[in-house]
Amino acid sequence: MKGTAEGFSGINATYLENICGDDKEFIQQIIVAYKRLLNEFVDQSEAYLQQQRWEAIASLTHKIRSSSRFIGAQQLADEALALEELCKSESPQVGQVQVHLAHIRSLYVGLQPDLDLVLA
Amino acid sequence: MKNLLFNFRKASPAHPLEDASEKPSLFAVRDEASDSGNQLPFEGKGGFQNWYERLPIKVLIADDTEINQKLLSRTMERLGYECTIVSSGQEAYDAVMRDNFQLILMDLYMPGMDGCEASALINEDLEDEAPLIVAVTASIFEEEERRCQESGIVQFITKPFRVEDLEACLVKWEDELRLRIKE
Repeated sequence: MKGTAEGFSGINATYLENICGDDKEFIQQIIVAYKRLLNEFVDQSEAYLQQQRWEAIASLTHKIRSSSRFIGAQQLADEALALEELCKSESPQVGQVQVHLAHIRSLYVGLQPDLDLVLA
Repeated sequence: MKNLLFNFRKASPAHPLEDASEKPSLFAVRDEASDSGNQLPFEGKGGFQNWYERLPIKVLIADDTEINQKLLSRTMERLGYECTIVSSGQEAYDAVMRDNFQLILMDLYMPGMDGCEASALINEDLEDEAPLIVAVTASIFEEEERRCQESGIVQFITKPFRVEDLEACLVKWEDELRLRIKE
């Protein structure tokens, strides 16, 4: 894995390398878990939006925020923070939440090539 | 004793690999450890000392996110600890009631009983016998910081943490942790 981090546009595996050393298999496990988490987020957030379950969206978003920082996906983490704060505000607007959700999904799609590269 | 242990750091959402000079809050823990009178250990093979040989404590990780569990566990492994992992505040409370842990690395956001609630309950029930509780969190809002203080959490470490952050935590609380080891 060493030296690969610079080649990623959307994530930065340097942090994982710091924690995991050269254990590529472990890093891949983390990436698989990250993809699973994001897929759950995509699946569940839309339903929660329809039900206007803001706390549930905030909780989901919190998970992807910390996990995104671990893999150096800073844009996605920042967007998740904005959404989490919005969902914890007094009266979140459906339209605003939709915009953030769409942005997070878009960022996730953009990360896929990088994530797949780590798994290759 | 709890009040004396309060020593919070402002959370920083920044990546730890960024310029440390711009992120004093995250690195304050490390700096303070160096000034505490406890010396950072000599590096062992692989870069980190086997802390378990120096400080044989039982560590509980409470976090409901698989990635966080794995990374925290791996980080502590590099310091010589095999941790017990639970996924909720209730499970953390139950584990502490069953077994003698000296340190809990506690996530704040968990389903059901959250990290603050669990910490408050543990400190209330076990008083001076309670393990030290360190919150490991992505960031903390003002209201949550107040809840942490009231629940008896002694410090928080910001995600994404590094091995050095956990090592600095051990250095900082080494004496307190040693007091909790039962013969």
